[in-house]
Amino acid sequence: MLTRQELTGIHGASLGILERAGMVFRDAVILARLADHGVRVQGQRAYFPPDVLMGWVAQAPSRFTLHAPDPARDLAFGGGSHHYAPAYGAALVAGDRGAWREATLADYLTLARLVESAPELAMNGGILVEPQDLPTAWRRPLMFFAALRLSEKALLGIPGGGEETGRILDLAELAAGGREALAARPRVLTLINTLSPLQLDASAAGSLVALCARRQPVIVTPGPMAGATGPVTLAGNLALANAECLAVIAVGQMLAPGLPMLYGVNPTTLEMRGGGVSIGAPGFAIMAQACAELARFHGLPSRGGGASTDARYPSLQSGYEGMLSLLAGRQAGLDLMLHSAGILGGYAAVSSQQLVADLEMIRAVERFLAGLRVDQESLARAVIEEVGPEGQFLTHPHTLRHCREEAWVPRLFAKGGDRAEWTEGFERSLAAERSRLLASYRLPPREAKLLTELTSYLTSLGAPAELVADIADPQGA
Amino acid sequence: MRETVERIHAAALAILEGVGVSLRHPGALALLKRAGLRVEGDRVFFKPGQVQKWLALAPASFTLHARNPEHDILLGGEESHLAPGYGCPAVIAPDGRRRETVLADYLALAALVHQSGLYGLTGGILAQPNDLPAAASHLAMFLAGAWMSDRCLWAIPGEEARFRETMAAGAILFGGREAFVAKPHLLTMISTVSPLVVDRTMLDTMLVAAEHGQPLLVSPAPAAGTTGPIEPGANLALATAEALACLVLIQVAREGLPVVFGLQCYGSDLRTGQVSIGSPAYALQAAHSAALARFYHLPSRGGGAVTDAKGLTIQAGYEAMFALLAGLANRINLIVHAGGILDSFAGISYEKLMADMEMVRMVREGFCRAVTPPSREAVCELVAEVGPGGQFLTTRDTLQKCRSHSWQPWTSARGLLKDQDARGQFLASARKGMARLWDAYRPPERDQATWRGLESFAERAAGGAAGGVVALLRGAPEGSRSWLPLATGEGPAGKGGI
Repeated sequence: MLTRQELTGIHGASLGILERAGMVFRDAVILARLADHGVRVQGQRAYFPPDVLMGWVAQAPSRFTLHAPDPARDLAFGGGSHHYAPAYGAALVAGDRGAWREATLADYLTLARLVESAPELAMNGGILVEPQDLPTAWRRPLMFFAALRLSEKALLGIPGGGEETGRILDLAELAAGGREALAARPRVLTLINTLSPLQLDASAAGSLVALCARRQPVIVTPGPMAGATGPVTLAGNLALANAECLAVIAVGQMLAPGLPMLYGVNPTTLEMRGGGVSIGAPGFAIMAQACAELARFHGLPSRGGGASTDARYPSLQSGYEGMLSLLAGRQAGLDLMLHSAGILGGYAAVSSQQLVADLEMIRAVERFLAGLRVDQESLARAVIEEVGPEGQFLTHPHTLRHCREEAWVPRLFAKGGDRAEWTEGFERSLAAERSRLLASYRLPPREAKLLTELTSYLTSLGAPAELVADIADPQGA
Repeated sequence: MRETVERIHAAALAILEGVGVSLRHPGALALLKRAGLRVEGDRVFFKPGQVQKWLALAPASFTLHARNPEHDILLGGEESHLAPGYGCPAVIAPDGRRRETVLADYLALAALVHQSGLYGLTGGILAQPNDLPAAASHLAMFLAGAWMSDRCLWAIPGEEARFRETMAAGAILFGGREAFVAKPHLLTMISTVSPLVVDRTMLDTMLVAAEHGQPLLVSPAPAAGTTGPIEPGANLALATAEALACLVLIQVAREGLPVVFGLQCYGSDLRTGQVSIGSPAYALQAAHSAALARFYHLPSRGGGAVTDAKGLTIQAGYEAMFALLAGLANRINLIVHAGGILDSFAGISYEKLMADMEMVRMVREGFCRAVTPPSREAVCELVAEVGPGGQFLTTRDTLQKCRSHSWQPWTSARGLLKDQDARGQFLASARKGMARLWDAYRPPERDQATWRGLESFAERAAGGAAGGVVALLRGAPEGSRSWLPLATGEGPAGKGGI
C-alpha cells in the first residue's frame, strides 16, 4: 500500500510531466477547447498548468449511478460497492483443448448469455470478444444491439471513433427513449484508452467527444507498459499513467462539466524476453492496487485489475496469476474490475472455460472478505461441550443448521472415480457448470416496437435483416 | 479483528475450563496435577488464570538455528518463512495419476527445495520413504534432510523411543548434546486429535523435546463440520483451546520453551466428509489464526500453497495462490506446505512444487515489494525526453533498471507462441526449471566425523532397522539429472534403488 507521501510523490511527478512534456490530442475540437480554457497548445500538444488541470478534474463527480435496462441492476460507483465485469477486447477464442481461433458472432452471443446468467458479474456488453466473421462497417453496432437484446445488466459501450461511437449511442438512445432521456441518465459506460506515452489518438478522441456530447460516462484508461511505452520503474510508469488519466479527465470535464468518469489507470508490464505485454506479472497486481489508491487520492471512482493472466489456456498458471490480481485488486477497493472473467494470454484471447473458473475465484474472494461471524450461536460453546473429546460434529444439529451458510461448497470440483481421470474430472465439472449457466439463461422481454426500430437502424447500416432478426428473436417465435 | 479475536479467546477459555482436554499420557497428567491443574481421569481442566500464567512464559520470538548460521531463521518477527509440503505418501503426476513416494523422491525434492533458496525450513516428512522399513523411516527422513541441506530442519514427532533417537541424532549433527540443547535447533510439529484429545505419541514428543530444549509448533487441525464445529469462529475457538492446553503443558514441562502457535483449521467438503484446504474458509481461518498468535504474543504458523485439486488444473493454481497470498499478507511467521501439495495433502507434485516456487516469488519478491516513490525531477525529465508517442525500451533508464525492476518468471509462460502445444508449454518450462535447480545444486558441507558418528548411530538405532541408511545417502547421485524421470511420474527404476 502506498503512503500519502508516496501518492503525493507520484502525483507531483504527473503534474510536472503534463506541465513540461504535455500531452498530444489528435482532435481539433479538443485542442480548441483546451486553448479556450487556458491550456498552452502548440500544434497538437497541450501543456497543462497544474491548477487548471486539477480545477477541471475536481468537477468530475465522486459517485454516480449507471442505469441498467432492469432498474434492479443499476450500478452505484464511488459509494463503496465493488463490481466485477467480464473480459473485454480480445479477438481470439481459446477452445477447451487450448487451441486458439478467431472469434465469431456466435462466441459473442454465447459469452453474453453466460455473463448474463452469472450473478457475480455486474455488467455485460462491450467487447466481450471481437467477432472476426463480420464486416467492420456494422460489426460493433451489431454487437451492441446483441447486448441490448440479451442483457438486463448495466452495459459497457464500444469506442471506435466519433462516428462509430455515435452509432452505438444512437442505439442506446432508441432503447432509452430518445436523446434527452439518454443524456439525463448515464446508461452506457465506455472505455477510452490513451496511447502511451502521452497521446490521445484520433479514434479515442473522437469517441470521447461523442460521449461527452451525449453525456455518457467514460472509463479513462491509460495502459503504459513499464519498460516500453512507459518508464520501467513501476512508480515512474504510474506517474505517467496518472498524468494521462488526469489530462483526459480534465478534457472530458471541459467538454461536459460534471460528466461521470472512472479513474481507470491500467498500467501493464513488459515481458522482457519476448517484448510482449505481461498482465500476469506481480507488477500488474501492484499497479492495480495503486490505481485504487490514486483514485481515492483524487476522490474519483476507480477501474482496474481483474483476473488477469498471461497463460494461453485455462491452467494452473491462469489460476494463480488470476487469483493474485483479483484478490489484490478487490482488497485494494477498486470500484470496477473489468477483465474479471474469461480473459487469457495477456488480453489476447477469451475462454468460456476460464470464465467459469474465474466466477469460482470471485465467489471465493467474496466469501473470504465477508469475514467471520462470531457470536454466541456461531461460537457454539454448548455444542462443543456436548460433543466433548473424541466426539464428532458431522451429525450434530448445529452442523445441520449452519452447513448451508457456512460450508464453502465449490461449484467446480472433480468427482471421485477413476484416479487417472481426476484432472479430466475437473474439466468436466467446468463444462457442466458452463452448461448449467447457459441453460439458466432467460431472454428478457423487449417491446416489439423497440426491436423494429433497432433492426431498421442496423439494416440501414448494411447489416443483413436475417442476421439481425436472429438476434432480435433468437427463439424464432 | 481485535474484537473477534477476544471473543474466540473467551470461548476457548470457557472450553478449557468447562469441557477440558483429554491427555492420554500418565506422565503429562502427573506434571499438570503437580502444577495445580484439576485432573479427572485423563481429562484436564484449565482455569483462565492458569492459562494466562503459563502462556506468559513462552517467548514472543526465537531464532531457530541451522547447521549453517547464515540460514538461521527468526520466528516471531515481521518476516514470513516457508517450508515445503509435509507428510505426503504419494507423488502425483500432472494428470492426477499417483504412485508411492520413495527415498529417492525425498532426496530429489530436498535438492530442489534447498537450491531454490525460497524455503527457510526443510526436511521433516517431505515425502514418506515407502521403500524403507517403517521402523527406519523417521530416522532415514531426518538424516536425508540433513544430508541434503544445511538449512533449518524439522524433527519428526514419534513415540518416546523413536523421538529420543531423533534428538540423539540431532545432538550428533549439531556438535554434541550440550551444544544441541543450548539452543533451538529442530522444530517439531504437534497435532491433536480433534475434538479435544492429545494422544500419547504427541505427548511423548512434547515432553522429550522439552527435555532437550527444542521448540514445538502446536497445530491443532479440526475440520469444520466433522472434527470441529461447522462455524469457522467456533472451529477456531476449539482449535485455540487445544493449542492452549498443549502450550500450558509445554511451559509446565519447561518454562520458557519456544513455541509456535499454528492453528490449521480446515473446511470440510460435506459431500464427501473429506477435509477441504482449498476453500476460502481455510484462508479466512489462517488470517484469524495469525491474529490470535499476535494476540498471545507468539510466533504464528498458517497458510501454504494448499489445494484440493487432484492434478495440475486451474483449481490448483487459484486455490494455492489464494492461501499463499492470505498467509503472506497476514505476515504469518511460518508458512508450512508452501511447496508441492496437491489433493488435500494426499500427495506431492514436482511440477506443482515448481509452480509454487513461482507463486512464492511472485508474492514475496514481486507483489510485496514496495513501489519506490520516484524523484519527481527524474521522472519528469525521463518522460519529457521521450515525449508523446516515443518509447522507453531503449532509454538508458530502462536498460539500467530492466533486470532489477522487471519481473522474470521462472516457469510461467509468457508471450504468444502460436504453434506450440499450449498445454505442454507449462510442463516443459517447469521441468526446465527443475533441471536448472538440479544442475546448480551443491550439497552442504558434510563434516566427515559427524557423518561417521551418525552412521554408526543409525546402525544401532531403530532396533537395527535404520542400518545402511547413511550408506544409501552416500550412494545417491545427488543433483543429478538422472532424477528427472521421477518428476515425469515414471518413478525410480526399482524399489529401493536410488
